[in-house]
Amino acid sequence: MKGTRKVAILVALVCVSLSVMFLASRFQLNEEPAAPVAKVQDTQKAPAETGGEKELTLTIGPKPIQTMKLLSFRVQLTGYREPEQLIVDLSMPGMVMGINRFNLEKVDANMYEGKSIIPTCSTGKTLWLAKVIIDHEIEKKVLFNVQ
Amino acid sequence: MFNSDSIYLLMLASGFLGGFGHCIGMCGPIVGSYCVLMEDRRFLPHLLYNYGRITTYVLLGGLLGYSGAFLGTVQTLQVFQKAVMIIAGVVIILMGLGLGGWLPFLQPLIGGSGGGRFTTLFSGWVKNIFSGKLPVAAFYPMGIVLGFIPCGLVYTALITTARAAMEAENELTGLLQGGLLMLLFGLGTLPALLLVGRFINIISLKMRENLYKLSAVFMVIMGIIFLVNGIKSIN
Repeated sequence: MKGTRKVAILVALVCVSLSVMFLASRFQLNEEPAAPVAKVQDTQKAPAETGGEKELTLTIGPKPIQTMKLLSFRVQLTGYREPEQLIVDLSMPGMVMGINRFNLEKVDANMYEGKSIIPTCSTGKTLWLAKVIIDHEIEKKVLFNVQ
Repeated sequence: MFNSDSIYLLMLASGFLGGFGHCIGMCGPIVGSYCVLMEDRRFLPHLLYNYGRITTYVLLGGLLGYSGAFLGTVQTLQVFQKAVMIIAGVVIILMGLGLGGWLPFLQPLIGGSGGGRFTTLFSGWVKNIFSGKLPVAAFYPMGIVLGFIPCGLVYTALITTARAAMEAENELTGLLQGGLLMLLFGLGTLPALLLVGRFINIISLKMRENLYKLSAVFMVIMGIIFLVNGIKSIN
């Protein structure tokens, strides 16, 4: 009987853990990323990082940024040498959402563009993180919200 | 973005990592619920459920690979997915209520040995579900249906699949490549969900009766969340 009770407690703990994990993801208890990042404001356009003469600007459109819509990611580089490869990697802070990364192509002087889709998260979370990766060396992060 | 060889590995790895980092939290409760309803405690029902789920992924991958159009395909599918979410929510709520013995009007139907009022195949299944027993054969179709539940991780895998399929030589190649990519993704998610299911099975082997009420409450809550999310997604 004692053994049965122990098993019951174990089962209850597992169920409670699963419930907490499930509900935590629902109520977005864990959405702030550890690393400091620049937030994209309502205009959905803001400098991601500025260092000396260098500036990187990520613009996501069309606005408002919506999930399950084709989005354009434009990166403007100022003061950087011309990159051989520019990648945007999309992820959701606090939730594994798979690998969503794509190349940006040069469309104008210092201007690069790529397209992708941000999937809907059934938890209702709307905060996303875009990492702009230059030649696998430099990584800039931008937080933004989706609708 | 990725060369043709690395994308297959990437999908498998994405499924594997996503399985532990995403599926356990999101689908773990579903697995926990159906474990209580399992008539057969062996490994087979878990495999059948997961193969059903992977079957759906392969179908979606093939469809996307063939069409190469993520948005058009998904927008068409979303109507069906929302319906699945709502129906799944209602069924899970009823299963939870039935399991907890909180559906008095069902008791005459699910109780006793005769069950004479339920003679058709469909009603037999209904009786099984609401009496807390699911035959092994039910797990494969259940996996197929629940594989359609909208999931961000699966959407991301489908986006990658569609992107790869756009570079396919022709539609047939796209179809096969899409199906294979989603098969690898699904297989990647398999270990995490099998482990959760088996773990719950093992520790609950002798505790089925005591688990009923707790599981029933949990299922009702989960069903309500499914139902609310399904209705919200319509608006």
